[in-house]
Amino acid sequence: MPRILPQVLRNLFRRPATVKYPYVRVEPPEGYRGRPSIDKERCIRCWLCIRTCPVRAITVNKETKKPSIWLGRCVFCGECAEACPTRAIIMTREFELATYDIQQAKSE
Amino acid sequence: MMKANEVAEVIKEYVDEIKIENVRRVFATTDEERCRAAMLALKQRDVQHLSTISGVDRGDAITVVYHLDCRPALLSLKLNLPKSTPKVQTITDIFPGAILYERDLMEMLGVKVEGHPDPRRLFLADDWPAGVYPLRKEAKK
Amino acid sequence: MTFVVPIGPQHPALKEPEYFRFEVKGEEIVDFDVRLGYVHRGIERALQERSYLHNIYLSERICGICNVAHTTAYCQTIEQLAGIEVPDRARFIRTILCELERIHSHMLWAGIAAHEIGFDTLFMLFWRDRELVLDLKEMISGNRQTSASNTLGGVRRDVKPEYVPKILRTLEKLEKATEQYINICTSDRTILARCAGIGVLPKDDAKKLCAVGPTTRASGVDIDIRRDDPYDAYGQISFDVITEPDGDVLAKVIVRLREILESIHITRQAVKALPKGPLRAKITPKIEPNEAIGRVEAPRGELLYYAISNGTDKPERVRVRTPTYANIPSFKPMFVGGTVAEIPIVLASIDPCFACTDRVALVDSHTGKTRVLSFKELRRWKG
Repeated sequence: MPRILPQVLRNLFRRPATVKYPYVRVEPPEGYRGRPSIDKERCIRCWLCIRTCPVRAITVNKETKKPSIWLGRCVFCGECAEACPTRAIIMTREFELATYDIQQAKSE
Repeated sequence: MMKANEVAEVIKEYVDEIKIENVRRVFATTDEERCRAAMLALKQRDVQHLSTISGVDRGDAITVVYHLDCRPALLSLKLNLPKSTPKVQTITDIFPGAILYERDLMEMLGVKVEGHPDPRRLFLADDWPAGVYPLRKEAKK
Repeated sequence: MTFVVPIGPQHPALKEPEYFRFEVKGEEIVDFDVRLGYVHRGIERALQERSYLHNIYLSERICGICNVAHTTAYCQTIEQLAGIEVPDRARFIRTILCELERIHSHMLWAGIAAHEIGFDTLFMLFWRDRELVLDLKEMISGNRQTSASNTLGGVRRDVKPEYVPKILRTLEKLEKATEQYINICTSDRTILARCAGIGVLPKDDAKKLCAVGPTTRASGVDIDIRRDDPYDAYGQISFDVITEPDGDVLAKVIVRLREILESIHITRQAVKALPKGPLRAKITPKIEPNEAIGRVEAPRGELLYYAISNGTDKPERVRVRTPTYANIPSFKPMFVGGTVAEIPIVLASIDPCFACTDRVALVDSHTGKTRVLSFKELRRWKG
């Protein structure tokens, strides 16, 4: 008899190990590094975020004169959120970032 | 099996300067003639693990660094080569594990390894132009 | 009369592109050759063009699976260059993350190995339990895989006291599961038939070819950077170095599974002994001319970083020697004399990670022509 059989039989009566995403959602834990969001009111334009970003994903938005993070390049390391002196940038728990519109792949 | 000061003792007649950083890190500089003799002396003392060979372009010279694991000490044996004609003797007969590292050295920095059993390219493409060495300072960005 | 069987670059067995050339005589393999460089990203050169801080995230991306090992080695090297001491708490947190990574990497490998021999039930079970570790990693570092928790001079995130019970609970579950898997792997007929006695790497060859990590420990060579060159908190923690004398694929399976148990043991000690104190030390952006070497026992073996600074905020040179690179010469004694059917499992048995190996050159290109089969011919074949 194969040695693994008892385990296999036990698993027959267990709940499935997988979750039926997207019908059932698992919330990421506290402190998850998802989409960075920028609070424009708080930003004091020190540009520390631009200097610390290791992948140069942050640029200045010409209209609002505030930072804009291109999510196509962002590696979600959270260095900008750590560097920001006024905590204008925070890492949210949002992780479903796929989009058809390139304009939406930005965090401003 | 050898601590830093024991390693220094073994190789002292083959090297010019020895810098003992701590119990587990030794840096030494040697020249082309005595390099192999130093390695043979270490091999006598049951050093069998060559961690890697690094090549560094220092601008006017190319430095080849052999990292030998003497457990717990790690010896870095440096060899300064002129940039116009960098060449070293192969050490694959002493440490057979060096075979890939020497091929890497040849194609990335243009150091000629004499007597290497298999001097083909390792990483670079076959149509990579000859005489262009990507890790040299003058290589285009 | 020998034939040449080309395998790769697009692979049936591995998920990464690499070209292998087997010379076979009937069923028997008589010669083996490898062609590297299909996933070159020029990382060693790129490391010279970025600042020390930005390099952390580049080194993290050399390998996805052992990213903590890479950043630990990189940070360690730069800390030695600058001559700063890492706070105690940070060293313990690094140890915890390194060990969790080892558990998940070994489980991932064991799953793949089971899949390679066609034992998909075991593959699913391994990967189900691997999720437990990934959940822990997500909780501690904020991401399942790329942890981004190491930084120059320490770590960026704390292991909070409320995490500790959950970590201990999960480790207990994992320990039980792993013991069961060891039991299965040492007694199941299918596994014994496919793994015992094949792909043998004799002890002499393992020493001579400078192999590293579980590959060489499975051949009876007692070598482990965690003990031989202790970094982080390993000097203060007691653990055994696992070795097996046989050198075949089964020995590699057992070494890795027993290492999971040992890692659980280490993590438990580190979590319990977690000292209080600051998380990071200050580091200046510019580093005086110096040189340093950092070594880490990554899940696949010894990982070596050699860095030279020149007084600016960018390194003069960073050399990265990844474990798979050191293990490639040992493929030859493992393959020669074996049969074609063994290729996938023996290939997988060193836990190859080719993205790690190919990181030096500047471009990535197809092999204009190889001696065996050119790219054009390959295309024609496909059509």
